[in-house]
This record gives sequence, C-alpha cells and structure tokens, in this order.
Amino acid sequence: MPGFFDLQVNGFDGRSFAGPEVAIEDVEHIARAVLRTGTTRFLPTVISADLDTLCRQLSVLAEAIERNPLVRAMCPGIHLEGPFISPEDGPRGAHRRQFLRDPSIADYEKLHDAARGRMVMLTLSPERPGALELIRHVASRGVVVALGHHRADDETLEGAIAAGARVCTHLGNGSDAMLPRLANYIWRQLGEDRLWATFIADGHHLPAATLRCMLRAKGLERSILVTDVNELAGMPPGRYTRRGGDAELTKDGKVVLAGTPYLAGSVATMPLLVANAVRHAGLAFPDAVRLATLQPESLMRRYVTSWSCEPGQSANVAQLDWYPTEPALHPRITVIERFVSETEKLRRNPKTT
Amino acid sequence: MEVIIQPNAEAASSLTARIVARELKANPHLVLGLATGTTMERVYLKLVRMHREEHLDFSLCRTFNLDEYVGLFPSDPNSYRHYMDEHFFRHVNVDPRNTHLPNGLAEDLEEECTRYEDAIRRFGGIDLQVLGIGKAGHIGFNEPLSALRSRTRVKALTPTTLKQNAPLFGGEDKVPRRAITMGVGTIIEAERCLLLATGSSKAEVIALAVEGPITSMVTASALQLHPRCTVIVDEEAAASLKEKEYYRWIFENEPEWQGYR
Repeated sequence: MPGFFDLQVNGFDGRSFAGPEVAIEDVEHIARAVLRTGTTRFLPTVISADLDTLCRQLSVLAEAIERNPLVRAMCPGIHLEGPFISPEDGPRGAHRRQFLRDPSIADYEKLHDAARGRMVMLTLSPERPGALELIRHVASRGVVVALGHHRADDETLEGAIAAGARVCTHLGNGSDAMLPRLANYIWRQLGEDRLWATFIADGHHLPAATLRCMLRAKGLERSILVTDVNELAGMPPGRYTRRGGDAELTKDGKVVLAGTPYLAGSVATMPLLVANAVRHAGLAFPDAVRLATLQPESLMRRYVTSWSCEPGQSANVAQLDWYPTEPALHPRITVIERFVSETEKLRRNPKTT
Repeated sequence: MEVIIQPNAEAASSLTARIVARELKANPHLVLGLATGTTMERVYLKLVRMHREEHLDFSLCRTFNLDEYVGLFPSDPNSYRHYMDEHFFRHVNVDPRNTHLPNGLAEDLEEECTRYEDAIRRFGGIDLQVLGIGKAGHIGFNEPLSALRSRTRVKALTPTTLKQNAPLFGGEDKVPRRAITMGVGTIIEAERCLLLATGSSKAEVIALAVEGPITSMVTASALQLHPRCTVIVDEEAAASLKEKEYYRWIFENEPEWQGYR
C-alpha cells in the first residue's frame, strides 16, 4: 500500500518543531522517526507562539526542506496551526492564550516570508476579525485553509466557506467541553458537504461511537485521519515539563495538560489510527487505509505527485503486519524515494499464540 | 490587458523573467505555464542566471508546456521536450517529475489530451502562463480559426507553419504534420498571462492581437478577455500599436509596476 500521509505532526521521539532552539537535525530526526511508523509524507505542524518564534521555527523548517533530502522527500510543505485562533478556553485547546491574535494579512506575510512560501495549510478560527480577508488571501494562492480551534456560528462558517475554507481541523476537538446538544457548530460542520474534515482517531480524542458517527456523517470521501502527534510519542509515560505548562503522558497513551482533563495532542501513530478506524468505527480495511493515504493526498494534490506503483515512478510504499491481538498495525518496510526504513518482525506474545 | 513597451528585446525578456521570479518567490509551489520558441530563449537564459546567482528556487514549482509535436521522441532535437531540457530544465533545480509536456507519442492521443487537462486541473490550474505569439497571431499551436473555447487537442499544422519549420527539420516532408496543444480556452483559464513579443516581424500581429477585434483568426486576441494579462513588447514589436503613449503612461504611473520601472 502507499505510505501514510499525515497532515498534522508536531513532533516525535522527544523532539518538536515548536522547540525554541529547533534545528535542522531535529527535523531530520523527527522525519526518520515518522518514517518508521509507515508514514512517507507529512506536514510538519507549527502551533501558536509569538511571531518572532514562529518566524524562526518556520525558517528552520523551510531550510530543512530545502537542504535535507529525506525531509524534502517526506514534507511537501508546512502546516501552520494558529496563532489566528479563538482565545476561549475549550476552543483554544492547549494553545497558549497570550500568543493568540486576530488574523492579519501583514502578520501572515511575515510568516510566509520566513517560511519562504512553504506553508501549504493554515488552520484558523473564522470568527476572529479579519479572518475572512486572510482566508481569501491565502486560498487564492492555493494554500489549503482549515477551520479549527473555533466557535463560529452558521453565518461565519458560510462566509468562511465562500472565502475558500476547505476542511475542518480535528473536528470535534479544539472545541467547547459543553455545547447545546443539537444546535452547535460541530453538527453544522459535520453535515457541511463543502468541508472535508480531519479526525484524531487515537481512541482518546473521539470515543469509538462518536468516531463512527462522524465518519458516517462526513462521508469517507471527505474524511481524513491525522495523528496530531507531538514530541512525547515514543517516550515512556510520565510527567514532562514543556514550555507553557507540564504535560502528562498516561500509560494508555493519552497526553493531557497536567492537572486538567484537556488533551494536549497525541502520541498516536497512523498504524494505530487505521486499526482504530477498523475496530472502533467498523470501516473496511481498505477504506481505513484510504483515509490515511489517498484522501490526504487528494486534499493536498496541488503539492504532491499522485501515488502510483507503475514502473518508473518514484517509490512510496509501506508494508505492514497486522496481528489480531495487537492494538495497531506493525510497520515492516517503508520506502519513500531512496529512503528505506525497516523494522523487525513483531515478536508475538507467547500467551496469545 | 496591459501593454508594457521596453526599449529592446533584452529589456523585454528581462522584465518577463523578473515577473516570473517574483511570482515564484511569492509562491514556491507556483504552477507555471511555459512556451517554446526563439523569443523565449532569452527569458530562460535570465531565469537560469537568477537561479545560479540569486538562488531562485524552482524545486517545488510545477511546469506545463503549451504544446508538443506528435510522433517525436523526447530525445529528438526538434521536440519541445528536448528544447525545454536544453534551454531550461537541466540548468535549474526543477524536479523533472514536475515538468509536464503533452506526450506526442501516446498511443491514444485523444486520451492524452484529456489526461493533460486533468493534470493541470489537479494542481489547481496554471498560476502564471508565459506565452509567445506566432506569425499568424496564434498562441500555442492554436492556428487561425481555432475555437476560442477550445481545450487541449490534436491540431494539424498549417502549410505556413510547415514551411516555416522546414529548415529546422531538414525538409518540409520531415516536419511532423500534427501537434498536441492546449486550447485557447485552456490558456485563458490561467490565473495570469504574460505574452512576450520582440522584433519587427511581430509588430503587425501584436497590433491585431492587442488593438484589433477578438477573432479566432488571431487567437492571441482572445487574451483581451483575460482579466490579468500583461503584454510585454520591445519598441520594434510595438511599432504598429496606436496607443503607445497611453500604455507608457500606465506603466509609469501604476503602483503595481513601481519595482520594475
């Protein structure tokens, strides 16, 4: 099958794109770790911070894409999530309030220059003043505009769609803990055929039944799985000190802001998401794979060559094993262009064989 | 439509290259429409120089050429694939997989045309289309009477074109009889068009295309319908234009052109 394509990767294996001193080596380290999970393409994702820090992070990412062949092969561009998002508790999720600001074309251009034009996806809140102008501005350039971390009403959503918004970022998450049960923005976005949606199917962000309902309502042709994985992936459970507050990684793979119920990203990998989509949401296996491969490719088609296994095309394949007793698929060989990642066969647990 | 008159071919090509460079810097994922022909060679030369000296980055851009002969191998020195490789692609850091020309060797040519249109659509359409103009006032191989709404298709070349190209191929009988070309309708769907013409041999057709009526007899005249089309000419190619003073005034006074004056 094609390798997975993850639209939202914040970090992996102890390193993050959001570190104050993030360097090209970190980006390469993360890319290598992500490749081990069967993912061949991903969008490094940068979250809300002050403009100078963002500019620095974006320019390091752009440089990594330009200079490092592995990063270049895997990353068709950068996803900017924030800082133009809602400051309200709930919608803002784990983004820090002090960095959140109204959308502005001037600020965006500053970031765009720092990223040397390599931003290909922007998640913002449409209800902030200036959002519709910014959506129009970036959408006309081909950037995929995603709505997320917001509390927009019907009229604002309509305006955002007309301005060029294409997709909802991790629908259901980055939203209020309490909502009117029937008239709320999640239903509204779920039933909106003009918007695609991404889902964090890690088993924590969306309960199994909710995931199932959401995928059915959105339709597989408009759904995409994302990990929203961060630097705690691959780390042992425990309490970690992070800029902006400690995070706790529990034994069952949940990341919360320490002392709160709020989720702060995930440590999930695509092989787990796909297995969950089958087990929890009842999808056929090929459909689940599609949501993590060809669907994201289709949304980002402006920026990637379409997958093909014809002779003469550049390689993009993953081989995975699936043991019924394991929670996730087990990646064996992943190949993107001339880069190969191999993992040993999983040793079966003697009790279950 | 805007007309910009430059003192000579050198300045006109340089301006064209600078506009391409600016669009590419604003959006490294630019989908760039390209043309062949002697007029274009200078533009490619400048872009190659900008790549070498100013690190102009083509690594993420996608290119689509207007046309290609039917039946020529890419290695044939007269094929447009060969032209593009020699004049441009192999001198810059464009990813060869991101460069597209119609495949004139396809078994099913009709299907190839549909495939080409689909490929353009897949990348969200062409952001910037660079164009030359033929002696019959045509763009691509859209020779006189090509429908103004035509799409990518196979066209028979006119006797004039066959004659014109004969020396290159070593005899009129050796010139391919047909070519695949983007249609006029395909071309004017580009977000922005840049038409470059230099030399006195283009003066008459430029006047027809720019100031004449819109007609399929001069397919470049369809560009008058385009909301964002810039025509760049040297003094020689501008010779037959009536409103030269007006065009110059616009170029001198429009803020958009500030950086280029």
